[in-house]
Amino acid sequence: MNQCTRLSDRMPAVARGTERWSAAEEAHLGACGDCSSEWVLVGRAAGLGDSVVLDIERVTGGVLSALRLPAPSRAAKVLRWALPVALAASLLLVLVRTRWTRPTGPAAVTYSLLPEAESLSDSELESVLQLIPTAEPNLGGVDSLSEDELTQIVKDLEG
Amino acid sequence: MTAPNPAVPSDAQLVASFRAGDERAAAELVRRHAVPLGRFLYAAGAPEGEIEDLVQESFIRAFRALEGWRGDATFRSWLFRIGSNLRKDLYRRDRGRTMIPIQEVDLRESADPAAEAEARDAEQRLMKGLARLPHMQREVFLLRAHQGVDYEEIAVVLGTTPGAARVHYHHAVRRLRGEIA
Repeated sequence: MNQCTRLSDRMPAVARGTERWSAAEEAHLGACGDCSSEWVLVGRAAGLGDSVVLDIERVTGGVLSALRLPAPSRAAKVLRWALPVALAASLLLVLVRTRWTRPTGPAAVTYSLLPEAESLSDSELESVLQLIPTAEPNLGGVDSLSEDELTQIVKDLEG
Repeated sequence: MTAPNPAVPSDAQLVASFRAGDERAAAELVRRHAVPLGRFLYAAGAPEGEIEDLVQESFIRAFRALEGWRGDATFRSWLFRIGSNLRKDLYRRDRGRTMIPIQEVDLRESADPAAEAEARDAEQRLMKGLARLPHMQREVFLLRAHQGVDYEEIAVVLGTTPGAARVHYHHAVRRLRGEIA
């Protein structure tokens, strides 16, 4: 440990007045720029807050009064932040389900016509779909329909 | 170093008495540590008008969490850590509202107004420098320079090593030198 480190380690105690510099240490402080600037810094830091005035009796009374009350339970502490989080999560879930996953247009009509399908799992839905005769999309066929036929199909879809 | 006076109960003894139901022990701990804690919070940047409430709340939390104090750090250092966390929460709540206390003083009452103004200016510069330090450097510097806590205890309180605490201190000193030059 060199002289600078030794002095640095003693600075807080000297600044607080519990220890004193020796003559050799004072000489070092006078000659070493790093140590002298650190000493000024520690001296100023040690004096920070000297002007702070507290009403100790008021603080003591406040602490004791609070301690006489039952402490907030752990469950209450958890609820304080968990409840808003749970509410926000529920709201988000509702928004996501209603805004982004609900089908719109003709698909929605079809969906509402088969409410039983909602309770089916993916594999069950797969089985049901396999039972339905495949209707190959034929865009050319649509083009060949008359205005009346198209109107009727739309009416059928809309119920 | 002065030897402990056996007639004066240690902090650990007072804590044990309080846990056994002696309210006076809690009151004694408050009387012992409230002012140093208030000074520490001030140096850490707490607004002067909120220091008393912060001190009171720090003690309440400390007494309610005494099972968390294992005695490996002093009661005072542990209490200061609680106070420091409370101050940090307050700072977050206020979103960077300036925490450097500006004191209005009547310099006409001072014996040496110029010297007092200079000292106050130096203090303000130091406080601004402290406010700009990374949290860990500020904590280590204040515990060491302001409270005289040794590196071993700082390491326990801040959950680091004595060597790392020493490095944080020297980084803080290097940065603060520029503030008060």
